Amino acid sequence: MIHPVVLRNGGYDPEIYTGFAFGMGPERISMLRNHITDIRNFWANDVRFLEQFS
Amino acid sequence: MKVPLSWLKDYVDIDLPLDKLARLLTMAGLEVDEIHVVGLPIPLSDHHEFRFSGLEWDREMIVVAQIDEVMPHPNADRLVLCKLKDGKDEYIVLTGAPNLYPYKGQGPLAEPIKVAYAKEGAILYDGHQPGLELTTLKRAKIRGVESFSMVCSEKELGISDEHEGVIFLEPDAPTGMPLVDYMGDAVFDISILPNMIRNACVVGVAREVAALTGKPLKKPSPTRKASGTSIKGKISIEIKSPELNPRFTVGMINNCLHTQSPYWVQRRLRLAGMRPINSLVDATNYVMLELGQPLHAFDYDVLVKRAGGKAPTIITRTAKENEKLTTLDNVERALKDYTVLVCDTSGALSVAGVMGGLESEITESTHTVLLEGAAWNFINIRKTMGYLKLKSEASYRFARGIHPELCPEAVNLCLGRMAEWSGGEILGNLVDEYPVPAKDPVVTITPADVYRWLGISLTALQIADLLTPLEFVCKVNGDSVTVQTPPHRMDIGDGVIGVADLMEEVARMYGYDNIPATRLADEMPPQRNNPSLEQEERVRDLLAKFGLQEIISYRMTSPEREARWLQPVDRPAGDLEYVTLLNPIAAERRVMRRSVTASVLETIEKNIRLSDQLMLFEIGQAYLPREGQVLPAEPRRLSIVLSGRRETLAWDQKNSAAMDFFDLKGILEELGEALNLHAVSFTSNQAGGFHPGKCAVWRNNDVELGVFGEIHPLVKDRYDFMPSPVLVADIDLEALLSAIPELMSTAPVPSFPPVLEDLAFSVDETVSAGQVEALIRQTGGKTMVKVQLFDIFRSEQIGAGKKSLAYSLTYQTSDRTLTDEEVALTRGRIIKRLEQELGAKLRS
Repeated sequence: MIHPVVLRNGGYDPEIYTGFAFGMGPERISMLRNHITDIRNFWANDVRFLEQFS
Repeated sequence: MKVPLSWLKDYVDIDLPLDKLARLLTMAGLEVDEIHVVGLPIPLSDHHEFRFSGLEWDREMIVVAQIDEVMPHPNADRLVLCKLKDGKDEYIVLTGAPNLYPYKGQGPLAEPIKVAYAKEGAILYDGHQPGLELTTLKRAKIRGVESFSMVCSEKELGISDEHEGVIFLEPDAPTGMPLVDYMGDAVFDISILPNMIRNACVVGVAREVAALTGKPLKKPSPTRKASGTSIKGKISIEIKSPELNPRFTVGMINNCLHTQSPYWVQRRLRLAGMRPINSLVDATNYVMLELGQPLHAFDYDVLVKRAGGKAPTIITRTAKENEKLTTLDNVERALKDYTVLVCDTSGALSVAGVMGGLESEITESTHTVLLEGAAWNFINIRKTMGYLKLKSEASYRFARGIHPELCPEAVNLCLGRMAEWSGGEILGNLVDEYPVPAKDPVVTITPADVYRWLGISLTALQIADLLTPLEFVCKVNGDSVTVQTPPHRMDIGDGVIGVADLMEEVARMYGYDNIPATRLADEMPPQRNNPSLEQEERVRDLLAKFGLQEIISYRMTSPEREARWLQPVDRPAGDLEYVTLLNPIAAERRVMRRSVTASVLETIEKNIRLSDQLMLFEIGQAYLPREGQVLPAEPRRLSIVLSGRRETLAWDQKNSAAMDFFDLKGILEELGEALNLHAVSFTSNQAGGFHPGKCAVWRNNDVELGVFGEIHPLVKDRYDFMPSPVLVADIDLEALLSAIPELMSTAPVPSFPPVLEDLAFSVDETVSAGQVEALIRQTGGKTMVKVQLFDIFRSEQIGAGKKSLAYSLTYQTSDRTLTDEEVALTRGRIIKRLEQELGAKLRS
């Protein structure tokens, strides 16, 4: 749910508009699918992790 | 926030299994990171939604026992023998716990000591190993006495890392009871969102659980009442900046004894992640963890001394210029002019809401405690803890906003706990300065609002029923609900903001999972292709198919890190211009990278000992500042780096050589072919960072696609690499992608047979095979459809400084069969030109 102040700062009247925002990175979906417990694995570039996807 | 289940159960009845409770909390926005069991069994499941850790205590093997007598060991001073009963039998148990020494040789104890007793076969943490190593208790002979069981320390049971002595349980612990039934616990580690700081306490979490399960919340109340004289006249308070310090409340207790807290208090503090200190300080921490209101205890007698024997005055004010204070951690802190201090008439005592000062802290000689519970402006506290780099349990809470109404409640509760644990008399009344009373918003919402925001139909009464358990006071008037915010939360706004805040509460309590799914009313905007990204993806897929690993590196780096690749080997480093971050997360990551290759080389270095074959690539932006422009150029680059064995070892691959220049060239050739580039050429080159003679430019038509080769030995020395060569291709991805033809064209299958022949030439070493091939193709013209180098060799027969190049040639035309004469004519021309232009000799 977008905070009314964010809407106001963006030039929308919060009395009229509401909004929803969703942040779903591909990492998070992959974490659920592949049982990855640490999101930093995606950026650590350890071949022992990367090799599992080949 | 670490919440022990046993503590939570003080305030709300819970009959849910551990994982169900974790799910309930998480779905309501109190995200459970981990459940650490301390004795309780981990629910059986194939796959847990939550991370479980910790030690389960076997019901049979780990029990409450009583020590009736402590006897000296015949052969060792540092060991004692305990006469111990576990409810069934009597045993003699050997232990080295120093906290049992005082009882040695006293004969039968007047009051038995209750302990946690583990029998042979029990699984425990090894108390003598660093960290948490599991071990199974085995029979052993220690100094001539057989030992098959033991009395446990906190560390052995996974309660804390304390291994100085064994645990002394409360005297009323029932002998023989499984320890897990007596004090088995589980700690829920919950990520508290910034606007939910009201739940950074056990009562806060209990309130949520109560609201979510429909059980009543049992709030704690003081266990001891005031019995002494009134506090009036003993202390006065002066608030200089009420907007920064809306409330300051103090209470007092005298004649208290500085001692250790009861064991269950110490255990709870440890499980919640705090260190027990003494019964007075523990009470302040305990109540902070209980109610969320940080408290501070002053030694009253020190304050009286500082006031010259008179009743002290507490003054809260912002720091003066150049003012300094030595905090509890014995560090002298320079203060900024907006920092609020708690002072008395002779100077600063503590940094408000962040950390106490050294001089007035509780010591062993403290008898009279002045207990502070105050409210502070959260933005100001956040700024202060930011520059002081001081994170404490108090500042963590104050920096997110603690409601002023909590002050007297917490002070009274804490005074009661101090009296209970340290003895003493609570003085009557509190001194309570509250110059800026909090205004708790009143917001009106309607079922129509709920439907519009959340898509669910609820009546006004149903809305009130969802909010009331969270202590909102709701008045239903026909079709609207007027909601009074309870005096413990500061996250509900006024007007439309308040409506949005309440909608979130309604959604949380209704359950996000229960909100029905629906289709989007509007049509989705059309999806358009992005050919450039699709081609980029194609390059990725091809390289992955060739067996390379893709990596994604941080784009933030430092010039020093990049210099290892970018700094020339033969002249001093010039200063490269970088896009610099204004607020970097670390000095190591203060600029945007100029080179993707530098990132990949770092990754190779990090992995060099983990694999004997590394083949990595990265596609990503480099950031190059542009003269006179605010924004940098952000070209997409492709960098490939190889190092290690050509083939990984296998039964038929015992002596795999290291990858070299030609492995990398092969990858580029394959890539070019797969992308249908048909005018590719490789020309030897000398580029910065590359090994002389082992570097080339990759082109399509006349467009340069990139440079590749083996890295320069001096560059290689800058890294921690292995002896095998490191090969780099630094490619301009934009150029590569624009070279890809939109459509691939084909040639008809030839209907006339080809003429095949092999020719070998000896040439000087300086002549490249590429030059020879180019001349053959040029001279052969249209009829020369294929030129394939199939052998290179050097020998005495050919002569020093010379090599033999053997080519297999294919002559063919599309309109007739070539005659021997035609082929002979072309061959003659080729031999002649090669001889004239490159000094090549035909070898017969």
